[in-house]
Amino acid sequence: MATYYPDQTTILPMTTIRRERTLPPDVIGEVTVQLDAFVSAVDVVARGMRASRYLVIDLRSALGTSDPAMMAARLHVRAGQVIRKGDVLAGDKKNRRTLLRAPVAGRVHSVVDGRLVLQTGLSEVNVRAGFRGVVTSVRPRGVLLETTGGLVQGVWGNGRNCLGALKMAPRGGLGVLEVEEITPDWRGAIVVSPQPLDRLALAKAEAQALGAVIAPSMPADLRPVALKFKIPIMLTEGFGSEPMNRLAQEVLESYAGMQASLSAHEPNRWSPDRPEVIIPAQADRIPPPPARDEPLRPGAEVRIIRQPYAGMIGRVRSLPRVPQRIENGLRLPVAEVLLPSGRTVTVPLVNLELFGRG
Amino acid sequence: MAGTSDLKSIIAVDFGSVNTRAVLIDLVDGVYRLVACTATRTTADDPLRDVAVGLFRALAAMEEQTGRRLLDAQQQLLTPETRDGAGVDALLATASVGQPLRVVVVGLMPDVSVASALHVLAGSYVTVVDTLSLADVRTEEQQINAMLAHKPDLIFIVGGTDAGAEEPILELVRVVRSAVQIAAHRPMVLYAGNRAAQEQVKTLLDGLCTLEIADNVRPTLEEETLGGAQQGLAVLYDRFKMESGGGFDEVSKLSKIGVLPTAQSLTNIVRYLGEVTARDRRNPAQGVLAVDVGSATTTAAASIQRQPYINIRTDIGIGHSAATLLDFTTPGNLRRWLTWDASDSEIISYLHNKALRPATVPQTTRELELEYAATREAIRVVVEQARASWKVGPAMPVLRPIIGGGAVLANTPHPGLAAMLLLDAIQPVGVTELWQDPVGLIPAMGALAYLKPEAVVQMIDEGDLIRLGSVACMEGEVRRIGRGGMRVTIRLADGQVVRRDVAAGTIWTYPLPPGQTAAVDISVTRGLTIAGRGRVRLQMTGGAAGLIFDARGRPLPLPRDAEARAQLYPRWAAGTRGVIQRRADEVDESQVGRGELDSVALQLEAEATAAVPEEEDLLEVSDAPVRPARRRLFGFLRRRSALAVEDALEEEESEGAPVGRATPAGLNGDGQLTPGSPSTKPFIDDEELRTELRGAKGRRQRR
Repeated sequence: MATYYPDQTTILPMTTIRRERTLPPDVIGEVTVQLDAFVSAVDVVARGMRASRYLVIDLRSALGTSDPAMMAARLHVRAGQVIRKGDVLAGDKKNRRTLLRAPVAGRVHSVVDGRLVLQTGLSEVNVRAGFRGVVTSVRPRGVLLETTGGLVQGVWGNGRNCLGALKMAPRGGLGVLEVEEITPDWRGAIVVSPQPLDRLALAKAEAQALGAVIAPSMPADLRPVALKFKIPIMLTEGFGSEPMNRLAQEVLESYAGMQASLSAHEPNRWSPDRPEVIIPAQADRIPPPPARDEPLRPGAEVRIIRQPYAGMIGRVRSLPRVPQRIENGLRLPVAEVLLPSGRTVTVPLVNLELFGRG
Repeated sequence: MAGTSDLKSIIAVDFGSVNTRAVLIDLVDGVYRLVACTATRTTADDPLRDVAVGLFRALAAMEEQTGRRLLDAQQQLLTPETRDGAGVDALLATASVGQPLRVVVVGLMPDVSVASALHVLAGSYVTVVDTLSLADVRTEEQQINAMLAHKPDLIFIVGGTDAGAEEPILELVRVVRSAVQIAAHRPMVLYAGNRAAQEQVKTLLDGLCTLEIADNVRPTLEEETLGGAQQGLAVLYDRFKMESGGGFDEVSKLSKIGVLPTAQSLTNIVRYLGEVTARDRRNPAQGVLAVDVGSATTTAAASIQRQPYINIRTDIGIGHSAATLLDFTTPGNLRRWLTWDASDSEIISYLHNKALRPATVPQTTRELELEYAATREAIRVVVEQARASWKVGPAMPVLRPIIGGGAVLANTPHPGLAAMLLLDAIQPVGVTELWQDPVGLIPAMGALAYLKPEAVVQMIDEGDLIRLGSVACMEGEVRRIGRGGMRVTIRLADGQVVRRDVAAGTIWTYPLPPGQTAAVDISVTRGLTIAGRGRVRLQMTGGAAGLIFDARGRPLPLPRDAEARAQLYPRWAAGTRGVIQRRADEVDESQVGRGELDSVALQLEAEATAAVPEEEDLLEVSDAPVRPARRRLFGFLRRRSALAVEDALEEEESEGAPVGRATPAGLNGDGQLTPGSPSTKPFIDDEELRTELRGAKGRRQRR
């Protein structure tokens, strides 16, 4: 059987984490930090301006000439220049009536074909570090940051980010937590619920001003509700009613009370960003970064991601050379996986994930 | 690389959203055959974001499978094939993976040139993000802002007839020029408008962006010529793929035809089959249909009365696009294919989870049902949308063959189930044939058609696409399951006669192996028809599933009650297995379950009585294949073929390879494809094609 390379959802208690922070493509700006600089999660590492629209001014009609030399002579601004409303753009300064003034504030983008293009509706864009770390590389439009600590990736997020202390909800999940039990130290915390979210738990999270919620799953019909939430929500297993996998729960529990950075990215197949929580922590020695693109081998610790064993963690016992027929009749390449209970189950290779351990 | 006529061994690779499939095509006894196939995970997404890695993994897997050396010591593709049979003469690449091309269409008349532009774009993976035309009420500044806001990859300019005024289209080109000059990421431009304005368009845009000039899509108001623009689009698609990174630049250099959209390959094969069908007077069929159900994209390509149609939905699939499938159908529509009363939440959660983990497969029977429900709905929606453009009226035309592609159809528990998924989703009428493309051969053949059309003809004729079986579909509404139906008499080649009553609302399969034919008489109950008649006499050909007699009527009688579905659907599935054979005169009550099926809650209105059909109702149909000189039926590709291979013609001819033998891939007892063995093979001189191509090149140079 050909070598199989499974998908990976990184869940590691201690690793080296590297993340790029770059300006979006439509933003003009620059990096604001230097190489080897230590940054906190809220530090701005790159800053720029984004135009919401372009204003095209026809210089030929405004100046009454189509001669490029004449137009160039009467132009008073240059590309990249920031202008205020009313600033003179072009014209004969000796004749005030011919002066062409900026109708709005903005930035001169270019002058082409007798047209002056102004970028208007400028808004500032700040790119923040997102976690505590050090700048290990500076590029023209961004930086590479590095830290050590715990990393738990999820499968879905509602597109929000936050910083806060990790706090474990009771075993029964956020839903069983009574309002009286939610003391002020819960406010702003990233709360980990080992049990699935339901409508009530979501409402409670928002009403009690929790900082964020990490949960294993929730029914898919709550997805539109969660997307409207202002607080970040990250799921580790998916939609439905799966409990949290053992490894994710253990890692998150081990960091309870520590400051964490949650980026609950909504999955987008064209973006490399995944929902994840980073918990920066000192390591005795520099841990290796997560392994990537590892082949599946006997002995590998794997997570099963489809029913009937969804969420279970086991160890690959063997990789049969030929495809096997599974219980629903499909014939597929499979692995024999030993579960902690001692039972060995047959699982299609494509239903297995690695954790990022080398 | 070898010249076109020297192409004897070809590896074709199709990059899907989940799988990268490679097929090895080689000469077997002087005939091009599928010899081996492999599939690996596509490596377009994280962490690698480099499809070339997946390509070389697929090639390594093929080496392991066949024992043939394909990569050299530096892990590069060995090409051309060496004397000792290592390497291949060419690699061809097709792709459906990746972000669709974002296109702004700029034209004059919405119903004329803009409509033609949309016809051109229909054959590729594009998203039309905006349209500018004379009907546009926005100011020039607003149009420029819109173009910049959409960040298009391509601006497609059409408009004006060749004898018409140039100024209106040039005005639009100037607006495009302004937007292109401002854009941070400069889009490519394809111009296929008024031919007289071509030089001025070049003056305005050359040097600013990548510009491709093609023949006018509307040389006159009455005439629509899409070929030139489609070719220009293919060139820019290849460039887009190369520039968008992800390893396609490397793949494009390796491939003899660049990177072709997979849908274009599908269209080529369907057009060819449409030509074959149109010439087959013994088998009245109105068209050919191929559906490819992918993780991210579902495509329906059809040739209806020799007119090609393609409908690509990049938002309908059963993996990456499983969640967006719900934008086009409802949980209720999926539920009607399930044997239990699934809640909306369960169905929606399943689809969203599939979108989160598109490569995974169902392991339980319950999840397999959900997967197949989604598959049926994806096909149904896309075919229904496609039918709206077929110019044959509202009734479903007779389609033969119907081809199913995509991993979900390729790997079913048994071939009959793949056949049933197609029948359920499309609900064809009359007598048809179902084919399956289990290894992604159609993308390979569609690409190969540009270089070696006779190879494609040979592979189709030799049955490298799997024949699931011939199907006779009973039409008319079945109001009570079990009452009436089909009376079938099968006369086998060895003289054995099989008679069978197939109850209305059921399906039955006679397991006739592929390649074998049988004479079949079918009569149907009064009120129901088959191919518009009460009785038909057919020559039917077997397949991996067999001869399928679908007596479920049209539309299918899908019970609303989950309990009824739980009784009925397993019987339908069992009815497609084709494993139960009875004596000639025996009616199998256990199979059709007439008595038990009476309990199925359906509308009980019509009275159906068995009747012997009138003799004048008799229709004779044969599905025996006809074999005209078919290579010429790929004539619609000739111009591109010439362009694609002209450079290859200038290369030195490779030395003649020694004669050897390879074996084709085949089916095992489970209906699974087994690999053949490649080897060296005899040299085939293709002087005729060479002459044609040299002529085409000469004509092009003169132009």
